[in-house]
Amino acid sequence: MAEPVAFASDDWFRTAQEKLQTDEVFKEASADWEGCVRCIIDCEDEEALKDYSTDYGIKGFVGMLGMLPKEERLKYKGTGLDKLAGKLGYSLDDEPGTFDVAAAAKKATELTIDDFKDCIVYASWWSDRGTLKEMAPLPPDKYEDAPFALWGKYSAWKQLCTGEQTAIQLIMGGKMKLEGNLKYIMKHMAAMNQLAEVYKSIPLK
Amino acid sequence: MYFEIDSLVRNNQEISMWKSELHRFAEEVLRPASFELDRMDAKATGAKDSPYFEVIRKGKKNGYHRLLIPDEYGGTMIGPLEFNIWCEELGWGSVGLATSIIEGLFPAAAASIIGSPQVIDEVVRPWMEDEGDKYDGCWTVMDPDRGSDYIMSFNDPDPASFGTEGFLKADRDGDGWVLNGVKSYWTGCAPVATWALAHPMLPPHEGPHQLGAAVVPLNLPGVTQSPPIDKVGMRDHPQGELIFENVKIPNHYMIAQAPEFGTILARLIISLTSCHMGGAFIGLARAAFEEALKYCNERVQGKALIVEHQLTRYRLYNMFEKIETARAFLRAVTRNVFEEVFQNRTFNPSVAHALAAQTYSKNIAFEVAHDALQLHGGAGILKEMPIEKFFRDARPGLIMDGTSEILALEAAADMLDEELYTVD
Repeated sequence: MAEPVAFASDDWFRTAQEKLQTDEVFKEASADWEGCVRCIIDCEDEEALKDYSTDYGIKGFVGMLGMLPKEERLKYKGTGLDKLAGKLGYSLDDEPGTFDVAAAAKKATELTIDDFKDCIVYASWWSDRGTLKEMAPLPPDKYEDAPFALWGKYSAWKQLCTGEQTAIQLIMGGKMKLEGNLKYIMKHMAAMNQLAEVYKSIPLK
Repeated sequence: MYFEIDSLVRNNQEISMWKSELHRFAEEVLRPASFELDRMDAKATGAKDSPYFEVIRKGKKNGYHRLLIPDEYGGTMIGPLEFNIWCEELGWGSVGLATSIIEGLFPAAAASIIGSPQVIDEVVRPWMEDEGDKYDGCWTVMDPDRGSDYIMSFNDPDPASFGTEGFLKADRDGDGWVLNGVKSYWTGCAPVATWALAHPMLPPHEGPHQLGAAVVPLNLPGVTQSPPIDKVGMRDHPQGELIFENVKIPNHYMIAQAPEFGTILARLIISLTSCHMGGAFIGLARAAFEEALKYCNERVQGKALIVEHQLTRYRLYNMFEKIETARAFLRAVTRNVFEEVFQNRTFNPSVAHALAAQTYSKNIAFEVAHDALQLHGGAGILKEMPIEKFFRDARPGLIMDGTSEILALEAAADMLDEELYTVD
């Protein structure tokens, strides 16, 4: 059994990448899929507040930002994410390894939902005919013209990645919104379902 | 009964037992209640002391309301073959009551597929626990000024051209929703249901393609249920109008609230209902055929049993051919729909095939019932003869869930768009 990781952390992204690159079922299910999905994770959400009030949540959040090259990370300057990071004592200019998690954890106990206002994280899921091309955090302006965009609150993404709800249930229930060619997506639901299965297999802290 | 050509049924003891148990229920419970309800005043069929509710209670005792609900919620998810047999045998007993029993579980079944955990707790679990007549469901699609043409909007390149007037509409109301409008008087089970799976037009109300789905308790303020309408056939299936005046529901009861998914939702529903309607009407066709066969083996004309007449034999053969073809086709289609919807959750069944199976089954049910009545000669029009009722019951099938012609046009659009056949 793999070590549990914080949701949407650098460890989570890396584990998911490794699994998707080696999962034969996913390869087969996504053999006809082409195109990037721009994932929009709205963190103004009680579940995000809960997760980012823990030391592993903060470490994972900063670690995830550290996956971005500095010039891309700086594109979050002035956004809600930048403000939240600031509250935790982290500057987007800082290298993630220099970050004091223990000090941030103390500050995190004072966070409220208001501190998450307009805090949005962008990520990619890009598979090309059975091969995972990219799955990583994104700067806000990258892939704005991606053929698909999927928006959801942090808790909805977590429900999807833990298998609590399927993408269809979340979209139908209005908890996620999808932009792009719906017919194409419906034809590739097997790939979407297997993607969710892979995410579900990653144990979360 | 009949020789089962499908070895998957014939050689499987469990499925064979399922079939014979269902047949017994259809013969002992549905058939007598169906004939009694057929002769009753339409309004009385929906009264609490009507035989209708006795059938519903007995069906629930057999656990029919738990079929199609995933095992994780305490259901008994059956496979496509068991589903086909269920629909056909119930349809043999009564196509009207079969429709009621199956449509009754639509709100809970839909909530179990696409609903949130909250709606599962509040709707699905109480439904599962009910073994009486505390809960009963209905499924309401059509709006009064919109007939089958409404279905055509799903494949139309400009669905907004179908207009927005005369539709049940949903609007945001704080954290929840408010419903206003009317659902047509031919809504199945509407007069007797406690829950509706209702399809309103979602904001921004641009056209019928912005279809939503809501589970609506019918005891909410603002809901009016009409008494059952009086009609030519399927008189044991209470149909009526639902009026929604400022009916407020919580957000999680709107189980499908993504207007961009309306068309996909509609096509998914139409595929599932095609399997159920197809099966129930094949059951009716079989019932009519068996009546004709029995009569032809009893009635003497020209010094011989009429079954010995060449034209009769030809006619009986044609009926047999239609029923067997419809059943084999529908079973293949149902397997596809179940794989796509329940098993793989890929939600991409072949709509053209599903609609073709539905229209074919309903069309042949009417043709077989017509021929069966014809074989009865003058006896066929006597009220005391079962074939007279079967013939009347077959007629609404050519209209309900969309007229056969419109369903065929929709299937044609799908068949061509999806390039199910290509020219090399």
